[in-house]
Parts: sequence; structure tokens; C-alpha cells
Amino acid sequence: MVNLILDGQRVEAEEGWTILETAKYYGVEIPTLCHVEGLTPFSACRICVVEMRRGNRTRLVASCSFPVEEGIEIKTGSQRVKRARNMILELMLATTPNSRTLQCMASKYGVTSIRFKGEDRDCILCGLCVRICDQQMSGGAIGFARRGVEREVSMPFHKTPEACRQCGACLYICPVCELPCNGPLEPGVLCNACLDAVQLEPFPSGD
Amino acid sequence: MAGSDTKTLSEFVAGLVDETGGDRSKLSSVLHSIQKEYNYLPEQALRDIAGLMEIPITDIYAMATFYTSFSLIPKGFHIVTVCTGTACHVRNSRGILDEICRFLDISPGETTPDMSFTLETVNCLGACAMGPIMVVDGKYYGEMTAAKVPRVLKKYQREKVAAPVAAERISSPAELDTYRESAKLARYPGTTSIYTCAGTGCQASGSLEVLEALKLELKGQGLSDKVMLRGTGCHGFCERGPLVVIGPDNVFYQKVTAEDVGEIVTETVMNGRVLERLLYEDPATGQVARHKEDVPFYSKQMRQILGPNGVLDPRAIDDYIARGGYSALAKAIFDMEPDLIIDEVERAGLRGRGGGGFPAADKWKACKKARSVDGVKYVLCNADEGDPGAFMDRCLLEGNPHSVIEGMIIGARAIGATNGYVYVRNEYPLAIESVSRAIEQAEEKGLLGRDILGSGFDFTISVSRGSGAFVSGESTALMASIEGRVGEPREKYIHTAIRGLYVRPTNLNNVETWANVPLIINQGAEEYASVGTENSKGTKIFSLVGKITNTGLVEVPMGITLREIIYDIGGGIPDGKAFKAVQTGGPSGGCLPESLIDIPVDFDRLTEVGSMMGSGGMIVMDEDTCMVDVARYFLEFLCDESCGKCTPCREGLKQMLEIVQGVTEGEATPEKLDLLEELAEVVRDTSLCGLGQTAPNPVLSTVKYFTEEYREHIEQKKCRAGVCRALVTYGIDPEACTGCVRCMKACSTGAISGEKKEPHTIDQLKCEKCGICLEVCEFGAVVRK
Repeated sequence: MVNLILDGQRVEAEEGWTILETAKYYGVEIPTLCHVEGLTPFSACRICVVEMRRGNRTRLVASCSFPVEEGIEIKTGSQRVKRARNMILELMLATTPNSRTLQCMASKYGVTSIRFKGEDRDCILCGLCVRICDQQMSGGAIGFARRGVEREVSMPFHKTPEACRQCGACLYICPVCELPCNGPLEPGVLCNACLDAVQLEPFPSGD
Repeated sequence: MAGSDTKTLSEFVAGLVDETGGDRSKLSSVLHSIQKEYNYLPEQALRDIAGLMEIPITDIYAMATFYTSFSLIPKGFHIVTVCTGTACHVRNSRGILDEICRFLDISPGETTPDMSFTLETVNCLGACAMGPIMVVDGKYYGEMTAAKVPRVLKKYQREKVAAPVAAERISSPAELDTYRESAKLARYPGTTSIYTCAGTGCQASGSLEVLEALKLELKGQGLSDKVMLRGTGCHGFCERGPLVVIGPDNVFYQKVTAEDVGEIVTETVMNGRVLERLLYEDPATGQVARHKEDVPFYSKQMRQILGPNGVLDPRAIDDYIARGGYSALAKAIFDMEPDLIIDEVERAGLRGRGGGGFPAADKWKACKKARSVDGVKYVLCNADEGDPGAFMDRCLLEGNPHSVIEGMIIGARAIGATNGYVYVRNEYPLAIESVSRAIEQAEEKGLLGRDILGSGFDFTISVSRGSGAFVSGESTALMASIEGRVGEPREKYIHTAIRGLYVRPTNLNNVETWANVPLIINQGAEEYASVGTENSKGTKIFSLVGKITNTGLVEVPMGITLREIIYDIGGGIPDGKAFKAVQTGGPSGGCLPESLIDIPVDFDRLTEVGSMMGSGGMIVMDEDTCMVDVARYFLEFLCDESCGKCTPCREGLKQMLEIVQGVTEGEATPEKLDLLEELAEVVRDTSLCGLGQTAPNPVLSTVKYFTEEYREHIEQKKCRAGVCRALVTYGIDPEACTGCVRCMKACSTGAISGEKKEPHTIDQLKCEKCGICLEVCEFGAVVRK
């Protein structure tokens, strides 16, 4: 067993567990977007970052893939974590306003404005569809193409490959396909329908 | 397209796949071969590969679209490439690019309708000292101006270097010593020798022509046997190329042309008379230097790694052996236990020269300790020198490849590694050729491969070619790339020393780090560590480029101040301009202002002030450089080079660019500056790999040290350097204008009008602010406001 401190509590975890698995076991909620059980961790969306202290150094790590270590201290809701998480949400919402998942998260974590230039895209490149097609459906029909700001999920040469059985798993798992309650929304607009309905401090702050 | 005439595409592809034996790590070389043969990657070829190599087509498509070396659409017969690296950028490569666009009537990335030209940009060719650089079909044109573009585009040719080799296996340290003695006699007979720099920089100014002329002249005079003529690697002083050094006294000739050759041979070589007109004259003091060591550029340096570059023929392993090469290897294998080698490297204080400055011995220890499932461990050399403005590694690989290979073999011996890779970026064709040849020669001599020097130790090295992606220099991305996958980083929560290439323990160091290893073994840790500061030992090579008098490669002891490098070695800022900033660490580093110019160059000190050592690019900027534009430039570079996997790097950098772009266009508000800083902090804090984590440095450092300039752009809509086009206007001073019509002819948008011998005027609506009028005006009549 590995001993660590999770939001101020001494806890034990199995060797090889990630921080996310450990938190889940102890009922501590960490939001995720590109992580789903059954698919390999991808560490891409960075919404699950937590503050990790090892010795006298602290840094933010992706809880979905960081394996627990003896003696580390984790804070899931520190100011640093909140600032980073909300900024990442804001970045995603700026370009992908019409995702119910993202808009609900914005309400839950108190993102109330978008200060960036907006776009209306329908993909946050979380890669869930690519991984479910490959790892669960043995399809391998879609993949990533290009790089940097031009990165996209694509079928080779933009043609539906034979490998695609039209099973719909990609649609099922996509966090962006469903419109927000107040949608469709213009770029730069927040739904914030549930802003007052939820507790704004859902986590022990850990500070 | 020779092959395609005789073979069908499918046959060609099948042949290539056959050669790989189904090894996925060869996928990128298959793609390179097809790209070279057909000038693009036909869809059918990719589908064939997928079938034959049993690789998902999605993976191949991802690679073909990820790397810039590959294209899915056909390219033109001639490839015109403009370097937009930092050094070229500050010397106005954008103006050249614009001019080519106009001349060919295409945009970057496009091909002319007649398929004759394709125009491309590249993020750095590593020929920074000669910038701005333009390349046509592999031929380098240095110090380009927009005005020269039309002339150059009419001629093009390809340079080639031949590769002679000799073979004879050496199977013990004693045999190595004997061989060394005979090589010394054969290669350095003690008579006169001529060393001509044949590095990329000097090639761009015509050194191959000089070398050829020397060969003919010596032959004509019947001196071929008596005088040793060498085409060597880079001497570092690219600014003054082509360089010719004549031994034994090291008479140093600069800016030599083929016409000078006859006189050099009859006067200097035959009669020992020095030709005054080819000597270097210090522009600051007017002092003339006869010998290489008298030139201030060299005299303040400490060239323990670069030095041999100037006297070795990189194509001849005998040159290297004759000068003591591979003696460190013999010592490490026969006189030292592996732990002792690591101990020596640790006491020498060797830190990684590739960027972060991580202690090399710590990595080696971790990798040695790590268990491998089948005993295979890897030692890698990172030659993906992607930092725009840096070309140290290219020069080492081109000029002295055996020092790097020797270092790697010693490292492999210490760690217990069995296989090695040198990962070289595709933009360095000469380096790839040079290191491949050196590996072949070392294998033939029994210094690499099976049973090295008869010791029973086996270690092989292969060359893996990059395909145009800056992020591939990141360790996990580099490994993915070698494995034949997209060069995308992954989390390093388990170190690559434990789980790296093919999930085996892997040790990665960069070119310069490996080149330091033989020196440490030969000198011993104490002597090596006597140079440098407390925590940064030895020397560091920098490419000194940008707005500086003596551009080129310099090697200096750690702890030297930036001022000494810039003023004593670099000769200060040309044209009487004022120094503004020095950029170190490439896109991961920062811009330091004059107030910090006296800090010592040392890994920790540079990081403390918000920059970093990086791989060693040092770009000097003067009053004509706009710091906001520099920040914008790096963001543009990084947006293009980010792999796009994680949100903060992909989306964050894009938004940062958006804000900084707004500043350069005079459209930003002061609040945007706060948002920029807040965003930069988060990108640094949350990005997946080193690229994203350090990407905000150029922005944060310019905001910190040059806030004034940002404020001016925002509040007064003013760019004091006159770089931000939206904020400047060009006009003609009627008093100074002689009506010579030069500017009118040069202006490609027809914005300038006027009669001959009458003052001209600029139509502001038509003016694109390219500045070519200012460049061509000889009377100072064009004014930029």
C-alpha cells in the first residue's frame, strides 16, 4: 500500500493507482473530460489537474495518469487548481460554446465570463472517439490528423473507411455533441442556467 | 521521377516496404523515399503501406499530416524555402518572403500552376549567421534582401559531397595506437596544410567553389602530394566566410573567393608570404590579425569541443583517429568499470546541453539501474535541433561526427545499453549524411557494432531521420517518432530512463552533451571541472546571431558574462545601433534587457532571470527590433509547432497570439495585458510537456522587461522600432528625393509615383509597408514613421 495525503486526510492507495482512482475511492470528486474508464488515459484536456507536493516542491499534475507515490500530498481544490481549471474551461468554451457538458461544468465551477475570442467549433480534441473506436470497437476508423492549432479528428483522406461499421460509439462518447439547456448559443455566451442552483465551493479547498 | 518511369507506384512502395522487413521504425524513411521520388505522398501509396506493413491507415495519415516534410499534394519541380527562424526574422525574412510571393504569385505552401515552383517556409535552417536565408533546391542563398529575390530565382543548382571510405578492422587498444601512428603520418605529414571551411554557412557564401579551385590549383602546380587540402567542418566565424586557414602557422584568410586561390597558392603556400588584403581587420580597432588565434572572435573563446572542427575532414575517420580520437573509448572500455565512468561524468559535473541542464550522470545512473525485460537498453542522441537560431549541433555533426559517436559508445558502455539512435532533424541533410558515414566507418574499423575493439562489448547505432516537427525534440515525442509514430509527447510520470523507447530503459542526451564525454574521459573529471561556475561546468557553444557584428558559433567557458560574448567576441552591434535585448533558449527561453547583460552565463542564473540556457541559440536584438513583435513571432512559431494534444498549449497559445497580435495592430486594451499574463501562467502550469510549459517564457520575459514597449503599442499606438506594420507609415522627403526612380521600380504594388528627377510620393492606400523602398533608396529620402 502507498500512503499519501489527499486534501488533508491521510489515505492509503493500492500500488499503481492513479490519483484520480484514489480520489474516486475516497469519494473526492475531480472533474474529467478526456478520461473514461476502460480507455487508456490520455492526459490531454488537463481539466483533472491537481496540486501535488513532493518534498518541498509542488506542481500541477494530471490526476488521470499520475500514479500515486509514497508520501506525496494532493490538493484537489486549491486556489492554484481552481485558477487553472477555470482558465482551461474558459478556453474550451471560447471555441466550443455548444457543449452541454462544458456549459454545465462552467456553472458548477463558477466560470461566468469568457474573455477570449470566440469560435463555434464542435470538437475539443479530447480523443475519446478515437480511443473508443480503436480500443473498444476494434475499429481504428478515425484518428487525429495535422498538428497544433490545426489538429483535427478525421478519417483518412476525409473518406469513410471500410473499418467503420457505423456503430455510433464515437457519437455516444462525445462530450460535445449535446446542446446546452439554453442553446444553441453564440460564441462567447455562457448558459450559466444552473449557476445559482449549485454550491460554488463543491470541494474542500485544501488550502 | 526516374523510378516512376520504370516502376509503378505500387511496385516502388512494395520494394521499399520489403527493405524494412516490416520494421515500423522504418516507416518514416519509407515515407521520405516516396516523398523524394514523387514530390508528394500519393493516397494509393499510403494505402499500400498500410496493407503491407499492417499499420492502421489512420496512423499513417496522422503522420503524413503531422510532419511538415510530407505533403499530400504534389509539389513543384523547384522547392524554394525561406527560413523564418528568429535570426532571419529579426533581419527581415518576412520582406523576402513577401517579395517571393509577389514574384511567383503564390502564397507560402502553394505551388505555381505550371508546377515549376513550390514556396515553403521553414522554422530554422540553422544557417543563422548568414541570415536571412533562402534555399532553392538545396542551394543556400545567404544575406538575402528582397531586392535580390528576382535575380536569384532565375538560377539554381544542387551541391553534392562525395564520400570516400577505407576499411580495416581494429581489434584492440594496442592496434588502435599503431593505427593512430600510421594515420598521423598519412594525414598530417607535417608539411603545409590548407583548411577550407565547408560548413553550411561558408557553403552559402561559396566555399565549395573555393575548395574546388584550390584542388585544381594545387594539382596544376604539382603540389597535390605535398600540401594537405582539407574541406573541414564549420570554423564558427560564418560572418566572414568562406574561410581558409593555412598551416602550420594558421594564417587566417577570410572572405576568400575562387579568384584569390591562384595567389594564395603561389604566395602563401609556396613562398610563405601573407596576403594582407585577405586578412581580418578588426572593425573596432583597425588591427589586422595574421593568425587565427589573433582574431578577437577566436582569442576570447575556449574551443575545446569545436576546435577540432577546423582541422578535421569530417569524411575521414583517420583524421579523427590521428588526433587522438577513440582513445577515450579504449580507456573507458579497458581501464574503467562502468560505474567508474558514471562517477567520472558525475564529478565532472556534466549537465545536459540540450535545454534543461539536467545532470547527465543522474540520468545514466537511473537508466543503468532500471531493469529491462529482455536486456535491451537504448542510448539516444537528440539532434533534433529545432530552436530557431541555433545550429551548434548541426555543426558538430557535420564537422566532427566521431566525437559524438565516441561519446555515445562510452555512455552505452557505462549504462549497459545495446542499441543507439541518432535522431536528426530532416532540415539538416548534410548532418544526416555526415553522421551516417561516420557510423559506417566506425563499424568497419571495429569501433562500433559487434565486439568493439575486441572487448566483447556490442553496441550499434542507427540514424533516425526526423520529418519536420519541433516538438519531436521533446524526449517522449522523439521516442514516438523513432518508433514510427506521430511525434506526440506523453506524460513522463514514469521517467524515460525506466520506460522509454519501446518501453525499455532509455537514456537521451543531445549532440553537444555527447561530444563532451570523450573530453571528460581523456582529461579526467578534475581538469574538466576546473572550467566553469559552481554548478555549471565546462564550456557551452552558442550560436551568436541576429544584430551582431561577428555572427557565428562561439564556445565559451561557463560563467562568462553575456557582455563579454556580445561585445568582446561578437564585436557589438553593427551600424552604430543600440543594443536592446538578447534572446537565449529559443522558443522556451526569454529576452533579457541591457540591465542583465552582466550576468554570468550559467544554467541556473539564466533560469532565475526568466530565460534559460536552452540548446544555445543567442539572438542579439537592436533598437530596430520590436519586442512585442518578437513575442508575436515566437507565439506564431509555437502555435505552428505545438502538437495540439493538450488544451492549454493548443488553445492557450492561440489566444495568447490573438492578444499579442492585437497589441502589434494597436487594437489591444490594457486589460488584455493582464489577461495575457494570467493565461501565460496557466499555460506554464498545466501543459503536458516541456514545449507548452516553457512556451510562455518569451511572452512573460518581454512583458516583464519591456513593459514600456507594450504600453506604447497599446496606449499611443506607436511601435518605436518601426516593425509593426499597422502602426507605421512610409513617406518620401521631397527635399532629399532626387527622383532616381529606384524605389518606384522596386515597389511591387505600384504605390510610388512621380516623374524622373522630380520628388516621388507614396500612395498610402496602395502601400503594403514592406519597406523595400527604404532598403533601395540611396539618398535617405524614404522615411518611416
